[in-house]
Amino acid sequence: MNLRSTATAIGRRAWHVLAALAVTLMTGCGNMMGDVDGNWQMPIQASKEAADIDWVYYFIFWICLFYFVHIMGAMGWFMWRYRRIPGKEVEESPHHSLSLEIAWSIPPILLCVVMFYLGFDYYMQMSIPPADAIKIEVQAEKWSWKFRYHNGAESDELHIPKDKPVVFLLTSRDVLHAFYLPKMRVKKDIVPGRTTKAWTTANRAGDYTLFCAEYCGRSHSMMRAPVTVHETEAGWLAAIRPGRASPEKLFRMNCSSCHSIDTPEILTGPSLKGIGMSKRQVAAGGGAPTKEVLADRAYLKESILRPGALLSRMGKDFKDEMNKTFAKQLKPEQIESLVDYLLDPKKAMEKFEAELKKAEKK
Amino acid sequence: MAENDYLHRTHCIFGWKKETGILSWLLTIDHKRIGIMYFLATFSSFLLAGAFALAFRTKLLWAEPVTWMEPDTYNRLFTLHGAIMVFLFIIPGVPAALGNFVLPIMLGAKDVAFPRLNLFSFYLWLMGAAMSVAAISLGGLDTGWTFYTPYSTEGIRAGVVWMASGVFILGFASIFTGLNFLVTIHKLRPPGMTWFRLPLFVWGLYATAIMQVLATPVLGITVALLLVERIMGVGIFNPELGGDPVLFQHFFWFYSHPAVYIMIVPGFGIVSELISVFSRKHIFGYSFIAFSSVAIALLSFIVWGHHMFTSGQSVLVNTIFSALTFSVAIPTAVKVYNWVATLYKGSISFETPMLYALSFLFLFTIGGLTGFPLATLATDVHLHDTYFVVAHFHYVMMGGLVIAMFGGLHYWWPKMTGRMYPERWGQLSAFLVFVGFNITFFTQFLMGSQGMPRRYYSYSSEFEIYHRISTSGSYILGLGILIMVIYLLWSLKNGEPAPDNPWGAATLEWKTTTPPHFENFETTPTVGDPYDFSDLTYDPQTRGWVDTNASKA
Ligand code: HEC
Ligand SMILES: [Cu+2]
Ligand SMILES: [Cu+2]
Repeated sequence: MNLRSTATAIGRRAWHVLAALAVTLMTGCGNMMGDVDGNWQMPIQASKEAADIDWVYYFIFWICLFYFVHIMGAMGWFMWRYRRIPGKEVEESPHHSLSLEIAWSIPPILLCVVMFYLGFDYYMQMSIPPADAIKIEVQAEKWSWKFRYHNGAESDELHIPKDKPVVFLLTSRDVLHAFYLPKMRVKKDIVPGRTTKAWTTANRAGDYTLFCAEYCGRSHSMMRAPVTVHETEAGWLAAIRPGRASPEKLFRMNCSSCHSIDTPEILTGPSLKGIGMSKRQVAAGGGAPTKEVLADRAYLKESILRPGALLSRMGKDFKDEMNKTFAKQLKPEQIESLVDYLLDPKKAMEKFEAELKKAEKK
Repeated sequence: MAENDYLHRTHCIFGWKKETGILSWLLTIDHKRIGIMYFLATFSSFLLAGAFALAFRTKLLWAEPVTWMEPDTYNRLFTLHGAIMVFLFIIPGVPAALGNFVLPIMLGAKDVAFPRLNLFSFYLWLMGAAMSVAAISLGGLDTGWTFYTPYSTEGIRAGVVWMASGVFILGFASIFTGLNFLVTIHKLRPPGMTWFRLPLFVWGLYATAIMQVLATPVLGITVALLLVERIMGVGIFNPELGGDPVLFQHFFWFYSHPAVYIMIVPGFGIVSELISVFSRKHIFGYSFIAFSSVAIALLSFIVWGHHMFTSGQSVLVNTIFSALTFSVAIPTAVKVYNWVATLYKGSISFETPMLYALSFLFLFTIGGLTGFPLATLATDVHLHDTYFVVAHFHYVMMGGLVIAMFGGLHYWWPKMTGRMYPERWGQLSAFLVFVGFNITFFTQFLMGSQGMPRRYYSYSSEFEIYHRISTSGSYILGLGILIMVIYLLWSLKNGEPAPDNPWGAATLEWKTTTPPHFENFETTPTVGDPYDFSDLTYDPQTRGWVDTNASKA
C-alpha cells in the first residue's frame, strides 16, 4: 500500500537524521549517557547516584529525541510535499486504519513500561539509606539553614566527607522548604511537624551550594548555604570540631536573615548598626506616638527573648515578625554573647578571641 | 436581511425587548454574545497576566537584586501571573469563550440548553475574578498560584481564604458552563447529528465538561476545610494545630491536575478542526481522537500525586502515581500521530490558523515528551521545582492551549465579527509568537536541568546568560501578541467583509450566514460528515467556498 511505503521511506530518512545527530552529540558533548564533568543538560556529577540518574535521564532523552525527530520529520515532509498547489486536487487516501493505530500505540506502551521501571528502580535505591550512614540534622527556617552534627557541633555551613553515605534528617521551624543539592541530584521537601530524610554519597571533593527549592516567601531565593565536601574524614572532622561559636557567627546564623549589622539597610527587621546604647523609637501602644528607649543590655535582651513586647519604629512600622522567642533556641551564654555583640561588635569579638586563647592554653 | 445577525438582534433575559446598546449585551441570553463577552473578559485577563510576566522577566535580566523591584513585588507578580493565567484565562478561555460561541452552531442547535444559566455563569465569573484579584492585590498574596500551606495561611495572609473562595466561585462558573454543554450535546442535537458526526471540537468540549463538573467540587471542599481551620481552629492543614500541610497539596492537585487537562483538551479539539480544514482532508482516526480525549479526561483524575514525588509522600504511593502518569502518554501519542497522518496527501495551505495548528504540534510534542523525565521517579527528584518544570508546563499550557486558542480565534474571527483579519500580519505575528516562545522557554529547560530552582528573585550568576536569552525571547513573544491585538482591533472596522465560508470548512457554523443569524440558522442545515470537503468549491467572486451540492438542489 502507498501509505505504508511512504511510511517506511520516512522511517529510513528519520534514521539517517537521528544517526547523524547522535554522532554529532557523541563527539561534541562527550558521553551519550551523561558526563562526570557535566554537559549542556546536566551539571557535574558530585555524588555516586548522580551518574545513575543521569543515565536514566539520557535514556529518556534519546527516546524523546527519536520521537521528536520522526514526528516532526514527518510533519515537515508532509508540509512541504503536500503544500497546496492551485489546480491540484487532493489525492485519495484512507482516513482510518486500525493496524496503523495499533502500530503506533504499541511502542510507546513498551517504552513507557521501561522508563517507568528504570525510574522506579533507581528511586528505590535512592530512598533507602544504608544503616551505617552518617547522620546530620538539618533545620530549615525562613530563611536560613542550620546543621547539627553527631558531635553536637552546630554550623550554618554544611560539611560532609567524601565517599561516605550521609543521611540528612530534615525539619522545618516554620513553613515548607526543600533541601536541594543539584550537583548531587538530591531533593526533598521539608515539612513542618515532620522529619523527612534525604541521603547521598558525595564522591567529589569541593565547594557546592545548597538551595531551598520550595517557595517560602520573601528571601526564598537567598536561602542558600555553602557546602563543602572534604577529601578525607580527618579534614571533615576538623571542620566540624565543636567549640563555642563566635558572636559574629551566632548573629549570622540566627539574626542576619532579618537584620543587617554593618549597613543601615532595613530587611525584615530594623538595622542593628550601632544599636548599642543608642536611643531607639518604639511603639507606645494605644495609638499614642512613639516613645524613646535606651538600647541598653536589658532592652537588647528583652528584644531577643520577648520580641514583640516593644515594637521597633526605627525607620518603618514593624510588625511582630520576629515572632518566635529565641529563649528555646539559644543557650543563656549565647544570648549574653549576642547582647555583647550588639552593644559593641568589635569589643565582643576581641573578648571572644581572648577567651578562646585562654581556653587553648589550658 | 443583514439586520437579522446576532450583532443587531438578540434575545434578552426576562423577555426584554432590547436589540442593541450595552444593556442588550449585558442582559443577553444569546450564547454568541455571551461567548464574546467571555472572550473579552478572559482575553483581557490574559493580556494583564502576560504584562506581569514581562515585568518580572525584566528583573531576571540581572542575577543580583535590583533596586527598582523588591523581592516582595517580584513574588506578588509571579503569583498574579500564575493565578490569573490559570484561573481567569486558561480554564474558562476556550470552553466559555470560543466554545460558547461555536458549540451550539456546530451542533445545529439554536442555543445552549440553559441560556439563562449561561448568562449567570458569566456573572459568576466576573464575581470570582473580582474577588480573587482583590485578594491577591489587597491581601498582598505572594504564595504562588499553588497556595501551599502553611505559608499561605500564616497570620497575616488571611487573603488565601478569599482567594480560594474566589477560585471556587470561578469554579462554579465553570461547572455551569460544563453542565450546559453536557446537556446541550446530549439533548439538542438535531436529527442526523449522530455522536460520530460531532465535530472533534465538540468532543473536546464534551470531555472538558465532564472534568469541570466532577473536579470543581473538590475545590469547594478545600475552601470549606480552610474556613473550618481558620474560624474554629481545628487542625487540618496547619501543623501547629496538628494538621498536615501535605494534605493541602493532595486537595490542591486533586482539583488542579484535572484542571490542567480542562485547559488542554479543548485545544485538542480546535487543532483537530484546523488541521483537517487547512489540509482539505478528512481527519485521520476520528474515533481515536475523540475517545482519547475522553480517556485523557478520565485518567486525569488519578494522576495528581505526580506533583508531589518529593513531598514526603510514601514510596509506594509515588510508585503508583508514576505508573498511572505514564498511562496518559498513550492516548496523547495516538492523537499526535493521527494529526500528522491527517496531513498526508492533503492540500495544505498556511493561513494564520494553520500556522498556529502546526506550531501547536511542534510545541505540544516538546511539552509532552519533556513530561517523561518528570513522570519518571528518579529523574523527577532532580528536576522537580526547577525551571525544567516551568518550561514543561509552559510548552503544554501556552504552547499547547494558548497557541491552539490563537488558531481558533483567527479561524472563527470572520464568523464572529463579519470581517477578515489581515492575513500577512497574522502570519507575521504567528511567526513572532512561535520564535519568541521557543527562545523564552527552551532556555528554561536547559537552566532547569542544570539546577536553577523556580520562583527565585535572585540567582547564581552562572544562569544569567540563560535568563537574558529567555527574557529577550519573551519580548519577541510580547511583540507578536501586541501586533495581533492591534490588527484584530483594526480589522473590526477596516477588515474585508467575510464570506460565509472563508476556509472551505464543512462543519455547520460555516453553513450559516456571517455573522450568524441571531437564532443561528434561518433554514435548518443538512447534517453530514463534518470532514467531507468534496462538495465544496472555491468561488473567487465571494472569496469564499460554496456547497455545489446545495446550489444544484
Ligand atoms: C524573622 C526575622 C527576625 C529574626 C530572625 C530576628 N529578628 Fe530581631 N527583629 C525583627 C523585627 C521584625 C523586629 C522589629 C519588631 C520588634 O521590635 O519586635 C526586630 C527587632 C529586634 C530588636 C529591636 C530593634 C530596635 O530597633 O530597637 C533587636 C535588638 C533584635 N531584633 C535583635 C535580634 C537578634 C539578636 C536576633 C538573633 C538572635 C534577631 N533579632 C532575629 C525580626 C527578626
Ligand atoms: Cu524556600
Ligand atoms: Cu498534574
